Formats: sequence, C-alpha cells, structure tokens
Amino acid sequence: MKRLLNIELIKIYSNSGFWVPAIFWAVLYAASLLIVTQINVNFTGIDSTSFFKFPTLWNVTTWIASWFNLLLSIIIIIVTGIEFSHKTFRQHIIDGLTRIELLKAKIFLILVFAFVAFVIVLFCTLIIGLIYNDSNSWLNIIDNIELIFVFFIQSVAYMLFALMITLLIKNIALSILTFILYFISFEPIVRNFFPDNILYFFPMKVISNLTPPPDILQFATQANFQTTINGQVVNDSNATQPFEISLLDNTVAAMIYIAIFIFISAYIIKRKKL
Amino acid sequence: MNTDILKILNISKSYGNVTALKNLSLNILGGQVFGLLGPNGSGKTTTLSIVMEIIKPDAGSFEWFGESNNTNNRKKIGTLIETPNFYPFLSAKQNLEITARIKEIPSSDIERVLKITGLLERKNHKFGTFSLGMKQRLAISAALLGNPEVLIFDEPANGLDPQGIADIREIIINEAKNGKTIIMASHILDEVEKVCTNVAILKKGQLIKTGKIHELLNKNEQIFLSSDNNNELFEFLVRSGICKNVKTSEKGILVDIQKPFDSAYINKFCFENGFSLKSIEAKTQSLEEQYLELINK
Repeated sequence: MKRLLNIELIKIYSNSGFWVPAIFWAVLYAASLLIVTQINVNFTGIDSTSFFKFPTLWNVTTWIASWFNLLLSIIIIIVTGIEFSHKTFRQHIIDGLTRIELLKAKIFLILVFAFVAFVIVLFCTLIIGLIYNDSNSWLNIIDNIELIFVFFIQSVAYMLFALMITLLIKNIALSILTFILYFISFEPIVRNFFPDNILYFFPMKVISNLTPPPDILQFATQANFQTTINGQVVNDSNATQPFEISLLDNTVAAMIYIAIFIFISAYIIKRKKL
Repeated sequence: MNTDILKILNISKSYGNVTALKNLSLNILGGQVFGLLGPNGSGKTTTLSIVMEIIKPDAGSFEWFGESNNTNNRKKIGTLIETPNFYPFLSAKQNLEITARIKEIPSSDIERVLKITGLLERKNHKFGTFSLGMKQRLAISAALLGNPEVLIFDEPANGLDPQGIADIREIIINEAKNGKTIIMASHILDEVEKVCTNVAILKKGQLIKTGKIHELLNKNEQIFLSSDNNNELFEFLVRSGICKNVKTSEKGILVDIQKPFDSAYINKFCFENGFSLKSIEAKTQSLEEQYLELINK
C-alpha cells in the first residue's frame, strides 16, 4: 500500500491538474462557510445562529462540503485520465505493476483525498463551533457526529464512481461530461419513472442523501409531513406515508454501491486495452 | 549462458479480421542480442507487447526465465516499447523515481542511468520540455534502471540524431558485454547487423527466418568463380548442370550452389575437366539484402 501510495503522491506533486481543483475546493468550501455564517435570517422562530450550534453544525458543514464533492470527483477524473492520455498505465504494466495494483493505487489515492477533505471539514466545523457555541451547546458535539464519517463515505463513493467512468471512457473531457450529465440529468430523469421505494436506491440518490440539508425547524423531514388528500390534512394512521430510509440504511446502500463501483472498475481495468 | 530467457510457444493474435501474429514460436537464450526484424505491421511490437503483458494473445503461451508466472519476472526486464511514456509535468528524475518504486529498486540508481544516457545535467527539467531524442534517452534510462537481466528495445534509435544512434549502439554493445540479454526490434538493419548476435524475421505475423546473424549473412549459397578463360568456364558450368543460375559478373562468374555439390566439389570438378580456377569466393549478403530478399519472396 505504502509503495503504491508513494507512486501516486509523486505523480500529483507537480500536477497542476490536481493542485488547481484541490485548492479551488478548499477555498470555495471555506468561502461558502464564511458567507453562510454572515447570513442573518430574521424570521419568527428562526435564529440563524442555531445553524452553527452543535449538533446542527455537523449537518451544515457536511451538507455544504457535499456541494463540492463534484470537484473531488473531477480531480480523480483528471489524475486517472492523464494515465491514459500519456499511456503511463501501460508503462507501469511494462515496468512490473499488475492491473489490479493500478486500480488499488487509485483507490488508495481516493481514500487519501477523502481523508484530507474529512480533516478540513472537521477543522472548519470545530473553528465555527468555537465561535458560535457556548458551553451548553458544546455538550451536544457528539450528537450527529456520525455525519462527518458519512461525509467521508460520500466523498469516497463519488470519487469511485468518477474513477469507474474514467476507466471506461479513458478521455478526461468526456468523462467529466458523462459524470456531470449522469449526476444532474440522466439519473434524475430516469428516477422519475420509478416509485419512491425504488428511486431512493438509485446510486446518486443514495450517495447524495448521505448528507441531508440542515433541518432546524424539522419541517423538511419527510417523516413529519402529513399526507394531504384533496388539500385536506389526513391524520389517519392508514394514510400512505412517504417513503423514507434511515441514515444507517442509506449508508449501507452507499457501501454496497462502493463495492459495486470497485468491482466494475476491476472488471474494466482487467480487460481494457491500456 | 545458454539458459532459456524467453520461450514463445505458438502465439497467435488477431485484431478483428487482421492477423497480427500466427503461431509464432521463438526461443531466446541468455546473453543473446536478439534482433526482431520485419516490415511495418509484421507483428514485432505485438510480440513484444504480448510478452510484456500489455495485450493478451488469442492463443499460445510464453515463459520468462522458464516460469509461466511472469509478474515478478517483469521487474528483471527493462523495456522500451514504441514511444517513451512519461508524465510531461514531472522532471526526468521524478519520472524515473516512479519507475524505480514500481521496480522496487533504490532511487540511488537514477543518477547512474542518467549518466549513461547523457541526461544527468537535465535531470531536473520537465519531460514535456525534452526533444524527441531526449525523450528516447530517458526511456532508455528507465529501461536500464535496476540493472535488469534483460533489455527490450522497440526501435531504440527512434528520433535520435546520428550521434545519438551511435551512443545507443554503444550502450547496447556495453550492456551485451556485461552479459545482458537484449531483444530489439528495429528498422535500421545496419544497426541490427552491427549489434545483434541472432535475428528473427517476421512477415505478416509469421516467422520466416531465424538464426545466428553470421549464418544468415554467410549463406554460402552463392559463389564467385574465375579462371583464365571465363567465357569457356561459363559455358562449361551451364552445360554441366552442376550449378544453378550461372551468371557473369564483375567479379567473375556467379553461381548458386545446389546440394550436394559444395564449393570444394565444384573446384575439383572444374579442375578434372581442365579448368584451373584462379579464385573461388563465397558471396556474402548484407542483412539488408537478405531481409529484402526474404520479405519480397
């Protein structure tokens, strides 16, 4: 593992294709947090500073970080696509790596990127926590802390999906285009043809639902909606409840997708002409 | 050094309807400088790509060092196939650092190989800024890393100027002197003739000739004869039927030997029939002549 990771780190050391989007990710994330903390919402019953108090703060920082997972995925597409455009994967095979080692190296790199993103999100969360939390709210720091670990899984899943697409397409621009089109249009359109109990298990849906938006008044949580029929509120317990999956189930589904992405990537790399 | 280094057994490969290799079998022994010759599309690079496991054969097998599991053996082989493949945004040294880590050899060897190929002063320059010849030299440096037992060069003189070609020839000769086995595919037949001990000639994916280079060059299948009266000798040889294709040339009379009559027998036969030969000399062919003759058959 150490050898493969060292090789990957040498490759990205002088690669502007890595540093530019990576710095962009960090700056955009920090700037977004800065902007969000400056927004002062004054609705009755809503105190915007409560967004930045534990345990809601975990929800806010991981949700905002999830907006920028696209950039992490683009980094993976760039560093993998370069291997095809310069035929360096092929050279590594000649020099003695196996095809599975090529894949392992990229997976280790994804884990490192996800870990660095995890550390940055954790650091930013604690900094904001220091500014906006009093001694009482610090007691809630453990609540919802699982969200940052779930964010790690989410980053890994997005990047593995990007890796799989790049191994399949081999071209950087086409891979980025395919990733974005699948994410923002193809899957959402296809999902519309399926009922809730199926659409919630589409890959991008599962992965994006890992970091739900903050819900300080709890009116956006589906479980708290009451089903309305013909405009009337129905409290009948037999009324259809909207489909919902727990964070744990969602995480398990995401882990299954991670395994599927790795399996497909291994299949592709074993058979693809490098 | 007669150990088996590479044994290729009945390898075939097709790309769609195009047959790239057809039942190719070769045996390369330790210490040989083995030239793989053939026109474009004859299957040289496909052969090297298969034995380096970049592509899979449709049929057949190969063994490195007498073993069928080749993953670890590949680290004992330094290879340059087709074009140099490096990261343009990394320096020469960083690129070789990656190769060294893949081959699990110390980075201290990098300076040694850069010195051999004359790139030491450019070690911190980015690969993307290199000329074609320098890129080729870096690829050769990568192949030499770790002092591998076997070197594979596919068109090593690509993009090199005459001095560069001479330098590469010297590197190959030196490495061969050090006991390395070298397999090289090349179009520059003059270079192959100068450095190779053995050659195999491929045509349309099939092996049409293989053997030691001096045996191929000295076929002894044609000889020049001359006597005091070449005209009479010419007529006598045609009439006798002892040789084929009797022709006159600047050096005398050129004939094709046909078994079982060798040059000693022809000399004796002429003498017994009243022709005292002034000279009898085997005609040697250059590798290029041999190659063109075989390829155009």
